[in-house]
Amino acid sequence: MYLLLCKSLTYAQRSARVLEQKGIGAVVVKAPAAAQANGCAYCVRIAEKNRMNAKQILEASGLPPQRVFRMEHDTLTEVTE
Amino acid sequence: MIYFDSAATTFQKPECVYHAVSSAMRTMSSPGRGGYDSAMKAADCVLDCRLALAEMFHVAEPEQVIFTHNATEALNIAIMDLAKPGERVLVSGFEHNAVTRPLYAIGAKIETFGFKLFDNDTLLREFRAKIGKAGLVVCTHVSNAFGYILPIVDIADICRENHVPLIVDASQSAGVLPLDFQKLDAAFAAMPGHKGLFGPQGTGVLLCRDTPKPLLFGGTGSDSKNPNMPDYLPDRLEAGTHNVAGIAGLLAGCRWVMDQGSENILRHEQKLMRLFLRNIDSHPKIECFAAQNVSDQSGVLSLRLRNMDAEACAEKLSDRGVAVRAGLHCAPFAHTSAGTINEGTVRFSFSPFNTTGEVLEAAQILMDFAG
Repeated sequence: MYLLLCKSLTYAQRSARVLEQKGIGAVVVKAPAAAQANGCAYCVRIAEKNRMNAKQILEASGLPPQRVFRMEHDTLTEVTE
Repeated sequence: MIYFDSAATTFQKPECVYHAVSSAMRTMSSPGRGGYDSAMKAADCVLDCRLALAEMFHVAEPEQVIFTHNATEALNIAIMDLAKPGERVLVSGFEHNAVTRPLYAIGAKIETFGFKLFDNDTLLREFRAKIGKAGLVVCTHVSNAFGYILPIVDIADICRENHVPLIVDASQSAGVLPLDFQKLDAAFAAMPGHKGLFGPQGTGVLLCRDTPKPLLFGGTGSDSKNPNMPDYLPDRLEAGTHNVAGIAGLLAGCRWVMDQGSENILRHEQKLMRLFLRNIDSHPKIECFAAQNVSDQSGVLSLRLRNMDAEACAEKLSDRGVAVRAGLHCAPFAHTSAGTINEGTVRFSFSPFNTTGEVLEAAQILMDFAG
């Protein structure tokens, strides 16, 4: 699964709603400690298969994620493109 | 009780508002803190309210919709951000203390325009003559004391032509008069949630065009390691725990207003005000402050009795079950402009929950003791 780190809770909520409207399952979750640069943040969790599509949708909506992480077996890896 | 003090707060709310508040208290905790169900439910409610207000007032992004505890706090944020000590600030002759007191506190040089009730031509002429050297304009959309509807669109146009920022006090117009925030291009618009939007007390809204300085500093549930307030909205202006139950009620109130149609609400209130006026205006001892044109006045009417002071009149009305507000209505500027600063007025302000029967009954009561 992927975690899209958002700059605020409101952004995370808006991002999740936009993705859901486009048929991509998206859940707002608190960012794991390892993903937080400055403490206390929210992410949108999506399935791996939707990553590229979600990125395009959010960028087109003016809601690009701050950072993107891949979560596998409790290990978090930042994805940079 | 016949409640005619909706300009202070709308006492009668739609049923959906009571239900929303109660439901929120039972099912929602604090947004932006935990990630569990009740916290996310609260977060969804808060965002839904931002979205509803953004739709109602034509705001581009929901982040520009900020929750405060009342319009006074909203105005303080706006004024503290834009006004500077010694700078010339233009205000209308009908402003509330929530506008003038922060300006005095900052040490701004307040200059007033528009002193004649219900005279938009003169007001605009004075405004055009005085805007040249102003650093800021703060203007009410509707006078809380007299219901005078100011030409806010024209005022906004003149501000834009002269590159002077505008703060709109929409305390008495939100929910009854159209306010297109994008078209106005005002820097801020402030309003209470508990008047024409039918939310509970303890709710207010500030619409922001840009990102101002915060008034309150504290926890936002974001960027916690940062010693400064976040530099993005809404977090920058919303330190501390939200009034979630209040915001839930405000959301229900906004939706109700949109369902009813604000123009229908205004028409009903104006109709009641005019009915009341027609039934008392001929009395020789009652002086009413009413516009010739219906379109110049909201559902608010101030009057005074020639043989009784305003507070005494309000007390007599209260004894007979009619709730009104007397005095200066926290708006000494308005009363100075209208010539009523010494004793104030008795203000009757109507709501969509008032009826023709109530108006006729109150008019009769007033006529009975007016002498």
